[in-house]
Amino acid sequence: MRELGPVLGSLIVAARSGASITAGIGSMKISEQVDALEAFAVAPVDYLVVPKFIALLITMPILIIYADFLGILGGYVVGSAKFGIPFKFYFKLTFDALKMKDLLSGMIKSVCFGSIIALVASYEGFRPFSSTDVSESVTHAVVRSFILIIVCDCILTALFYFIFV
Amino acid sequence: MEMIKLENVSKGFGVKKVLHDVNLSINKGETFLIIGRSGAGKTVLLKNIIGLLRPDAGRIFVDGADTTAFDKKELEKVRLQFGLVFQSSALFDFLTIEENVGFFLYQHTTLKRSEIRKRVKDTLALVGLEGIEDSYPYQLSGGMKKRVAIARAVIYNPKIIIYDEPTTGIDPIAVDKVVSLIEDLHKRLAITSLVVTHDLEVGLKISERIAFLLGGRIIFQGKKSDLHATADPRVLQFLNGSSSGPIKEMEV
Repeated sequence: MRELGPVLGSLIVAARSGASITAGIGSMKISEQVDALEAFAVAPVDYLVVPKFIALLITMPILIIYADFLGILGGYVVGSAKFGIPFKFYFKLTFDALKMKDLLSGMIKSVCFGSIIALVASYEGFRPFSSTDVSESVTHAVVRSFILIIVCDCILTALFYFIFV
Repeated sequence: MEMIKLENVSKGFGVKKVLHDVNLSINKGETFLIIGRSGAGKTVLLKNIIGLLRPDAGRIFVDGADTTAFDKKELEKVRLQFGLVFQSSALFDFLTIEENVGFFLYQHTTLKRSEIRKRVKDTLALVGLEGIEDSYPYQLSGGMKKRVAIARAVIYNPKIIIYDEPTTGIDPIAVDKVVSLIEDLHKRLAITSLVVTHDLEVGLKISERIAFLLGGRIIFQGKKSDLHATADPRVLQFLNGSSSGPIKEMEV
């Protein structure tokens, strides 16, 4: 709930949704749709980036809770099939070991990782000048998001170690 | 009376200078043609006129106002005086045709959806398209997309309409339809039109006055009839469509 859920969940979102955001904005840029927005006096960042940023801020924590739940359930399936651990016993031990700080740190991380994905993907989306640049931007968006998520995770883990003593 | 006036406008990107001391005047209500080879700086010139780019030097007047002195907000207001038809049509591919054509009205007015839908329907009828409101751009042909782009540009009655390469990438029948539409709209709406193209035949058909842009410089400006009387070998070479002459293949 503190590490694997937020980090793995965010890496999947970066690869799937981040790449999609970059490709979408990139193709709009090279087909003059971004220019068309400006011609209509509509700020492209307000119209294209802000909604995606807010959407990721809202959905990432929900998605990470879902990932955590599936992770715990997966643990039960393996524990039950391999070692015959009873349902009640498994969940009692699991939830006894969990603390509020575990959930809280996971949620804070998911919000931060969601911001990273939205900002990096959008920034890369506005960079292409030709159709060949779009694929390059998508690669950059995914790689840079991965690196920033892992770096951010290290920093936040260290920070939470001191905050949530 | 001049609707658009450019005084010694220059623009470059890094070390590459695209426009050199461009002087231009476009009168109210006329159809003006800017013609030139691909890469001559036509689109950059357009983007400077509508304020998407700022010139490095010189002044641009739109309806008497010096837009080069304007801040971002004021430039946005100037931009709303223009209706722009992009080279690639630039329809928003995630919106329906109704949302595309009514985009300006949805963004900048408080009209009800039903009212906007009606205006969209009327404007689409004006460009000869009906019953496609709920379609998406990918479902249309290149010529239909151009006409939708024209409908999107005229729906809010702009003072000036700009066509950037309006006939590029569409078949000859669609070209004829788009040209007829531009002529028809000009007659009906009496709107100042600026057409940018490298298609001489189309350009001469729809325009009254012409400017010839070569290498970022205006080398000819005048009436359509003056074009054939010019002695400039560069203009003559372009008119004749000849590869031999002062304009070399790689020169832009």
